[in-house]
Amino acid sequence: MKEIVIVSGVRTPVGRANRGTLARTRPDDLAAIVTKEVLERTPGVVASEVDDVIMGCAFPEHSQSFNIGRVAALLAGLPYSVPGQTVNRLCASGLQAIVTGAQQIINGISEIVIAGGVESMSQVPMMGYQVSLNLRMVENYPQAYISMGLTAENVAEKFRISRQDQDAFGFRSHQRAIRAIESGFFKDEITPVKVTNTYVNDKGVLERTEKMFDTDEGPRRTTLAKMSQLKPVFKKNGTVTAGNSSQMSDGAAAVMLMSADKAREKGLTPWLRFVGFAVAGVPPELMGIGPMYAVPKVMKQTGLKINDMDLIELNEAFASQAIACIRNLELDEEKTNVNGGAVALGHPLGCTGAKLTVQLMYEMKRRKSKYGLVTMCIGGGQGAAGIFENLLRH
Amino acid sequence: MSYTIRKAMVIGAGIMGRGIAAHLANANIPVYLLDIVPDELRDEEKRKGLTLKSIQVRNRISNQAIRLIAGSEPPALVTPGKLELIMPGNIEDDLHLAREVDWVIEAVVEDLNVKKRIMARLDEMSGKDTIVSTNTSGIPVNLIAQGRSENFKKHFLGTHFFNPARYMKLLELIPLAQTESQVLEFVETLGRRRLGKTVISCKDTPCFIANRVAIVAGQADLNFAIDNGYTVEEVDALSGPLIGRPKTATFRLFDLVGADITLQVSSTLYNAIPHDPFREVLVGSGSRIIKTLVEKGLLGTKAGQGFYRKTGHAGANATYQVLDFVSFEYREKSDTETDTLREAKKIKSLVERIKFLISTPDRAGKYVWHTLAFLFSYCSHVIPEIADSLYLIDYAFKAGFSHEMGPFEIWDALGVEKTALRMEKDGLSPANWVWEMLEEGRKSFYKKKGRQRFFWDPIRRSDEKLPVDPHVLVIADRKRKPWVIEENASASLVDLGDGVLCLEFHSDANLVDEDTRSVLAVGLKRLDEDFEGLVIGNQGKNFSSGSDLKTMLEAAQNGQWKLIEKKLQSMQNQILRLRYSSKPVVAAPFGMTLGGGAQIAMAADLICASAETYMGLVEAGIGLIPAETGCSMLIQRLLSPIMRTANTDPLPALQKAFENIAMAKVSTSAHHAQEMGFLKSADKIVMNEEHLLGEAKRMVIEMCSSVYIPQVPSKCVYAVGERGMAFLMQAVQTLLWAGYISEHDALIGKKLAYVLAGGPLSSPQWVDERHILDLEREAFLSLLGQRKTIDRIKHFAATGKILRN
Repeated sequence: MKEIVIVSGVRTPVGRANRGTLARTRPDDLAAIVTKEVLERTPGVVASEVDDVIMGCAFPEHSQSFNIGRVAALLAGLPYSVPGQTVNRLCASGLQAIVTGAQQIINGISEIVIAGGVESMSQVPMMGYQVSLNLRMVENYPQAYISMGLTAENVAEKFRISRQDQDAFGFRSHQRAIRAIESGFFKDEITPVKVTNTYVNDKGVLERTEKMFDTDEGPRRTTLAKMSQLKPVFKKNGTVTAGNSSQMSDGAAAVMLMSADKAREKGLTPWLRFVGFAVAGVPPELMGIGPMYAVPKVMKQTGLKINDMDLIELNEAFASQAIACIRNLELDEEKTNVNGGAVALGHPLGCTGAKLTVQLMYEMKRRKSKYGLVTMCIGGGQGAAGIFENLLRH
Repeated sequence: MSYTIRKAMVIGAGIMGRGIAAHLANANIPVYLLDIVPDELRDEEKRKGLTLKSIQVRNRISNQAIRLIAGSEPPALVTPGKLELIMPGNIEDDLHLAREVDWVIEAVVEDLNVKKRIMARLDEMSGKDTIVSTNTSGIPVNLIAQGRSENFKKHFLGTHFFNPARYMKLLELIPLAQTESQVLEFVETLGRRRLGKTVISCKDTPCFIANRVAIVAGQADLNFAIDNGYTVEEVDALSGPLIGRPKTATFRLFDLVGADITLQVSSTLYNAIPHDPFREVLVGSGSRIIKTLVEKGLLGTKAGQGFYRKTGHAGANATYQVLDFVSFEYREKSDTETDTLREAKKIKSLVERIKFLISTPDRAGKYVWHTLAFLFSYCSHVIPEIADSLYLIDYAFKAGFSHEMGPFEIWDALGVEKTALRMEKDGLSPANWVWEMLEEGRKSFYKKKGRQRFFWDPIRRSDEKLPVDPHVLVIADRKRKPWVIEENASASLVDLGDGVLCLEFHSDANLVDEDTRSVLAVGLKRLDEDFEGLVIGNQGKNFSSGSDLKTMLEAAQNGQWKLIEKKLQSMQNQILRLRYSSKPVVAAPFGMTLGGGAQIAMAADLICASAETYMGLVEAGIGLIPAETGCSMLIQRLLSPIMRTANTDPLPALQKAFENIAMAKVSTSAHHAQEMGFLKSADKIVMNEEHLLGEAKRMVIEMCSSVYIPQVPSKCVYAVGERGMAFLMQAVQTLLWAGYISEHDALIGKKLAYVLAGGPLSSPQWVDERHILDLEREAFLSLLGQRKTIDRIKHFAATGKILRN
């Protein structure tokens, strides 16, 4: 089997949805920014050599519609000869896009692929705009459409994850993220976004503002005391709050994929090797436990052990499910979400899988780790897990 | 000079200024709200790098006031959308804007010098024809205008609003001798028509009319209670709704006003009325209690303790302790129920109830008699000092303090002479003019000849015509032959003249019952044959609290499902006949307009609603869904119009209709009802409830005078079908999982989803409303067959509260 490598990767800073800096920035523009940037960060590859641009997106409608992979390629200035596609596995879409790219190269369909993910939760809300649920499902198996917050409550109840533990976990996520930002750990992986806003101001005059956005804006200097005062938002007398859930966010991320041979041919230094990937289904009402099934599956497939993993990005959809997964899989918390997770940094759905892969890339390089794991739960009841090897560790 | 109002300014963003500015915004008048510039920066302002020159700092107080308006409870605004009409400013930078406004209302602190300084600046800054008024409750208006230019005085007057300005109906105007008559007329009309107030013109005497009488009489009540050993709870049981006054009664009102304010106001008044022998009550035993309260910081509601002390939880579960006047300690409330009270509460008529109370020789009777006798006596003595015409005092009490009847009206009803003699005997003699009136052979203060009412004028010693507001139409004036067309215990058909028929509800709580429907049936027939149009309206306390479910409940318990189905169908048919009538129909809702009442109102061509209309389809609260066309009507209002545009997503509007009904939402104003979809944009909102019926009649006449095009049945309902059902049912399931609703709520929700979506249609479809009406009946019947629905209905009937089972 061909060896697939990532030679470069980049992401936008993540904005807070609705009131954040990227709220008015179109997701296809964000996807185009990372597409263009990842190409620029790969000297030796010219645009016309790219065989496909694959974007993961959880709600590909509205400003994310019309095949956002293709739109991003064209907006990025790639020639029309470069095709594009959109893949959707909800919260794992970004990781799935990378895997799809890898598969295409393995199968000989493509040689060079830009793969990533994008989501503007400001512009396309959870569930999308034109929701249309199947009445048969609603009547017979409504769990299939259960709201994510309730699944977090279910997981908290089933695995006895206390409110205190969830809040403490969320608080630590913020602390770790702030430390990472202050240490400049994200500087290299982030490409700044020029944010423009055209609007009629209070004086009735058309005004245009412009600013560069270059830092994740999710992390807050909050206190545990403040977090513990927040009211549960999904269930009466529940434990899941806005403070111990992932934030709704906007962002995009992309990596450049090719075979190791291709990289050698182009004179590029392979950075990560794609080792393996697995998805697993779980009860929809407990979707947060997805990683408990996906991770063992990918370990079995690759013959590796959880202990072999030097760095883990476990998407923090909710503190409750993240804690449940950490406990169940016996993950080392010192290796897991070392720079904070989605509670602090945000969870731009379809972007997340690609964003976590990019974060893993840079942190593995910094730490000279060998193996890294990206894993997440998925709405509707799934889990996904991907393993990467750091080739820059020596 | 003819005056108009395009823009206004309120100076002073305290509780009165805020309330007035908000109410101007309610009337769609843009208003600047100005207050002083702060002299110190706050920490957060420093952190933001602001200085005392920054606009955010300079307008801080008025900006804060605007936020307080937005969050006020009860809401000061009829809809949050009106907030943008209130523009912040400060008196240092923005007073020059007075030049561009038509009316400046000063509502700063009650301090003569401060007010005078503002007026001096306005004298320079306001436009030539700008009307300037001062909102004061106690300072003589002529003192505030002292030193001002002649032109300023021509455009100056006092305008005394009551708190909260949106809800309290009284507006006292206090012109100067120099105030131009057009100015006074303009403000009077504006107050009445646009702001919806009862406007009375007052003399510039201390505390004007309403407060002058209320402060003195209130203190007298307090003295009497203390001197005779009455308790707080005892007095409040006797001086509230029992005698036609609000629930705040005596001591709750004192607590609301605040002991500090009471003390300040009464001592100011005491000094201002040395000629008034009654003023001594202001320094009686009550004032000593008030002083002690102030010293101890027991200021009333704002301090959490006054005559009452709040204990336990906030909101509905709050409990109160009461102050003991002797020990000055709080104790639990004792039971105030006596045989007299129990008997009195059985008497429906207010006048008969008062007659019964004052004839009872026990403590309750004595208290009611004494306080009324004092009030009557004092009112008679302040005429003509504070008002030449006695009706002004009645208006002031009814509009200013929400009393059902004014003092002279009650006195009239009790018999003037009989009451006067008893007052005399008890040392509370009436003024001489009352005896003179009786000597002239006049037995009452008011009398009626035909439709004209007269009042006794003690100065001219003659009957004078009670001024008639041409915009007010009183149904009671037409309730005699030949104008009463049909009548039973619940409703009447009254000929309003000009070819307009009126369907008037007057059952208990204006419930729509069998009797109402039989009158409506006759009305529909007569409308067809003999009239040009129909107004559905009444002048009770509320438009209608809904349909009477008694017979339905009985039939359900007897398992007479066929009968219920038939009844429902005939109710629906009747509403459809109304809707498709060949003549125009206008409904005039006000106050509570719920359930069946709302469904009848929505059947009209147009609605003419009072601004204070609290409308909702609340059937879900008792375990049912609206089945008198309400579901269909709301879909037709919210969904059908937008779906005429291709590719519109129906779900948000469907969800809105669903939430209105499933959560039994009630509008907080007519404007809100419009936003909720109960009213259409073509419907009219009237600020003055007294003008409502006249306006509704005018609308009918207008519709008749142009070519009236009746509605015809058509495929007017956009049925979303299974996509809508699936969406709503999943939402219901989510709320159930989340523990926010009960299993029975979920059942009601799912039935409602079925009805509103038009059933499980494979794709959306325009359908005849009959289809939705069939589903309404089906859902109603199946819910009525549920034990938990029956429990809800019974619980509501017994307690007036919603059972959450």
